[in-house]
Amino acid sequence: MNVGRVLETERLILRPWTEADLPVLSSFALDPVLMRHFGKAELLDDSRERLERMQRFDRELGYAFKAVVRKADGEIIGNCGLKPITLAPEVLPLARADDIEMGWLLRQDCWGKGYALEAASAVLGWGLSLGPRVIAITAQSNRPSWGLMLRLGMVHLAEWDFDYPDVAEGHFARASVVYGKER
Amino acid sequence: MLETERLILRPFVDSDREPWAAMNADPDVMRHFPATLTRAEADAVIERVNGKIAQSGVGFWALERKSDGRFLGFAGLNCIAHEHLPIFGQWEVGWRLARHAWGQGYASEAGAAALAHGFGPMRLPRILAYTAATNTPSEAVMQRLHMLRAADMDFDHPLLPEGHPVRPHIVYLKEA
Repeated sequence: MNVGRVLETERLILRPWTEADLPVLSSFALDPVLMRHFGKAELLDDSRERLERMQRFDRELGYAFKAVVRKADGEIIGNCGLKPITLAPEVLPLARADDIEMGWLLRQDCWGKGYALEAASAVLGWGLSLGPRVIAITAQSNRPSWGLMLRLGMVHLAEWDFDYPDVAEGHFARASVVYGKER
Repeated sequence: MLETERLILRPFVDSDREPWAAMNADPDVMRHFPATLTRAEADAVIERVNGKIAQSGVGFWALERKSDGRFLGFAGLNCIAHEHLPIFGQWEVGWRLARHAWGQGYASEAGAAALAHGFGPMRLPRILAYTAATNTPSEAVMQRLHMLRAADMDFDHPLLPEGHPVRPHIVYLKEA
C-alpha cells in the first residue's frame, strides 16, 4: 500500500497524517486565529473527514497535505502539502487539470521562525516534480501568506483572483489572491 | 469523550437540557457572570458546544456522575473565539457546575482530565484558564490544577462598563 511520501528539511519532517494525529489536526481547526484567514470563525470542516481526505489523496494521487513535525521535539507544528484543485471551475476558470495546489498552516507559537518557508520550499519543489504548475491561494488580507508565496518565487496570477464563494460578503477574507509557479 | 474516576465527560444529551437551563438560571452559579441565561440562551450553548465536539472531538463536555448518572455541569477545552478578548485564539480549560455538585472536587477532576487531553493527544503547547477576579472558588480549582497565575495577562472584560463587579478578569496558565 502506498503510505505516502515523507519530505525532510533541515529542521522539519513532513509525513503523512495518521489516525493518532486527529486531536492535533482538530486543535488547528478549532483555532480561530488560524481559521479567520479562511473566512471562518473556526472549523473549516469535520476534522476526521479532512484527515481521511488527506490520506485518500496520498493513496490515490501520491500527494497530499502532510503533518509538519519539528525534528527537535517531535511535535506536529503545522500542516503543509499538495492537493488537487478542488474549487469549482467557475471559481477558477483558468485552472488546468494538471495544476496542483499547495498550502500551509502553522501553530501560532511557531510563527516567525522560518518554518513555513522551510516546509513550503520543500513542498513547492516536490509539486513541480509532479506537475508543470503549482498554485497557492490565500486571502488578499493575509499579507504574511502571500508574502511567503513571493519569497518562494511564485508570481501573482491577478487574472485568477476571485471572491471565495462560501465566505460571507463583506468578510475581510472573502477576496482571494492566487499565486503560481511554473516548472 | 473522557472518563475519570467519578465522571464521564460526554456530549450533551436531551435530558441534560433541563438541569443545564436550571443551573444557568441560578443566580448563585452565575454570580461571577454579567447575567443568568434564559432557557433559549442555555440551549444555544448546548448547540454550540455539541457542534464543536461532533466536528472535532473536543470541546466543553457535559459532566455525568458515574455512580448515579446525574448531570453535574460542563467542563472541557476551548480555543477562545471572542475577538474582543485579549486572550483571543488561546486554548482554555474551563468548567461550570450546578450548586449541588460544588465542594466535592468534581471541577478539579474534570479539569485535570481536560488538561491531560490537551497536553496529551492534542499536544497543545499551553492552556490557560480565566475567570472574574471575584470568583475565588474557580481560582482555587486553577491552583489545584497546578496552573500558575499570569498576572500580565489579566484583563478587564471589554464588554462590561467600568466599575462593573465582574469586569476584572484573572488568568492562570499551564505550559506543556
